[in-house]
Amino acid sequence: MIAPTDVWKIIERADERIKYAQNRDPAEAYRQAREALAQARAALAGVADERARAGLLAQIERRETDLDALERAT
Amino acid sequence: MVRPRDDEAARVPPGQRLTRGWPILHASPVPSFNPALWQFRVWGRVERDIEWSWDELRALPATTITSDFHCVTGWSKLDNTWEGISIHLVAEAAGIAGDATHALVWAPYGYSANLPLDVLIDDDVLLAWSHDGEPLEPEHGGPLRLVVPKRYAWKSVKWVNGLQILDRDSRGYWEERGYHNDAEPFAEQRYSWQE
Repeated sequence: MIAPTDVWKIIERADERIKYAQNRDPAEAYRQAREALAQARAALAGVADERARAGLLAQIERRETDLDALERAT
Repeated sequence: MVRPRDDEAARVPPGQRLTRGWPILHASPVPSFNPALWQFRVWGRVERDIEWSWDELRALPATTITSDFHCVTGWSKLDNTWEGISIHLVAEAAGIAGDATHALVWAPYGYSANLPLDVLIDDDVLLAWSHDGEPLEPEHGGPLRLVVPKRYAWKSVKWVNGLQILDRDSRGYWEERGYHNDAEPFAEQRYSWQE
């Protein structure tokens, strides 16, 4: 079992990569953010609370869409 | 990160570390700035829509405020001196409607942050073009940044170019992405599940 907050911590790691991307190598930062989101997605399977799982999945998908837009804009 | 002096400790919210530098972080690329094309708008639940050019905005009476700054990622920066225009001036120019309760603060690339009007229209809030006596660098939100010291820094919108005044709350960019709607640093309101 994985606590929803543990999955959130992985998502937050992706956020940090995105927030600092413009000050570093954006392409590499976005790649690392996608990697963190993939880890978060994999970890979702261990979250027992269905509602929390759905909420976290929505947050992961939103960030993947954000990354698509950021990669187009950069 | 540095250890706060005794006289600074009470000004550093729980879970924060003090920095003497100024980390650079934001979700979008740094937008370009053309003073001839730049525009600041206020619209929504107001008596008069505002559209100020850069020259018109810079001709308004300036104010200087020194305040602390707290980022949700965990760093705090004390004693920042900001110069710009008071949010009171903006509110008076637009005439806030009686039923208005909240604002969405807008920036390029669709970035936004929401604030209740009683937090936005406060004595320590301003639209800043200068930090510690120097023009605000683009990486830190120049040419113009909202400064809301009593909230985590994502509410201090970089490259601010609009205020949408609303009669209801509407979550902004990070607030829709799992971060706290109120974002009060001394209450450590970081995440939406705390609401």
